[in-house]
Amino acid sequence: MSTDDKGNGDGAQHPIRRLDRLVHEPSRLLILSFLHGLEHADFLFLLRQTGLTRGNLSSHVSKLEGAGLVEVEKSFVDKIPRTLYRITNEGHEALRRYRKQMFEVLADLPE
Amino acid sequence: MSNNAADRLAYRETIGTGLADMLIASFFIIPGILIDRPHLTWLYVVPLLLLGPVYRALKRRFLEPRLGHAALKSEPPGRLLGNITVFAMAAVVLLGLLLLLLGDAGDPGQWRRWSPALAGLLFGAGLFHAARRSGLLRYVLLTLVSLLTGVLLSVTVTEPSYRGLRIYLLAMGILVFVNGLFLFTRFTRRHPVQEIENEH
Repeated sequence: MSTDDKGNGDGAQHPIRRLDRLVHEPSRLLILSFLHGLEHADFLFLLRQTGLTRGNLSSHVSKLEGAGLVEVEKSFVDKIPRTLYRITNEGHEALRRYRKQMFEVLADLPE
Repeated sequence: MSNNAADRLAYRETIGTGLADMLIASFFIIPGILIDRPHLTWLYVVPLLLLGPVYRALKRRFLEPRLGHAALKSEPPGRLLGNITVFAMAAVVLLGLLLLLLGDAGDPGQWRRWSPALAGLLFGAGLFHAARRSGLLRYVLLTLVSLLTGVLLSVTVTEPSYRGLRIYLLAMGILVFVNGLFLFTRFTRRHPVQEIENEH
């Protein structure tokens, strides 16, 4: 999901319009940022660190997984099910691209 | 959030529970008990071999049901080992130069006397690494205590034996263990087990 909308006015070319909205959403950005700094994390860890509700976290992770930015690995540890979340190469790339886009947005803002 | 910030947060949260401290204490206490008992030297490897598996098992049992699980981006083992070796050699050379200046470098008794300072420097480096990576003040304090205790014992315990080193190892071991036990008890009280499974 990205902002490829074609507008008629000058605003269509504004850097903000080019921001990837999937990544730009604060909760998803937070999840991606955490996973970017780690090898992987489980649901409880992300829940505690992001402060999101279980439903919200689950929903955002599903969107990120659907877009291929996060991958999910289900396994058993001591007979207890565990689901691990890991950022994909596309996820790293999306974050890098978003960072670049945000710099452009900030550079365009008046002081 | 930068790589370092997420890594530091996860590392800090894991190490901040005190569980690691209780296990690290064995690195002080076991040599402290076994020093001057050359026939038991082989027991030194026990904490080296068991610490990793024991820590992982205890972490799964006590920490992960409360904190969740996150794998840190580990430092390359080769680089870490290289840094430790270089630092240890530098510390030995430093002590050798000091003894050379005092004119006692060839006297094994003087090496034994100054061994608490050397141990304080080496263990202090490990504690400083934990302080730097976690950003926790208590590891900075433990680093200072390690250095000061080592030097103080070398200066005050003048007999050319391992008595100073034994006192250093046992004192530091007990301090680190008690500190860890206090933190771990407080942690388990403040963080009840979460009844949340990975439900995504």
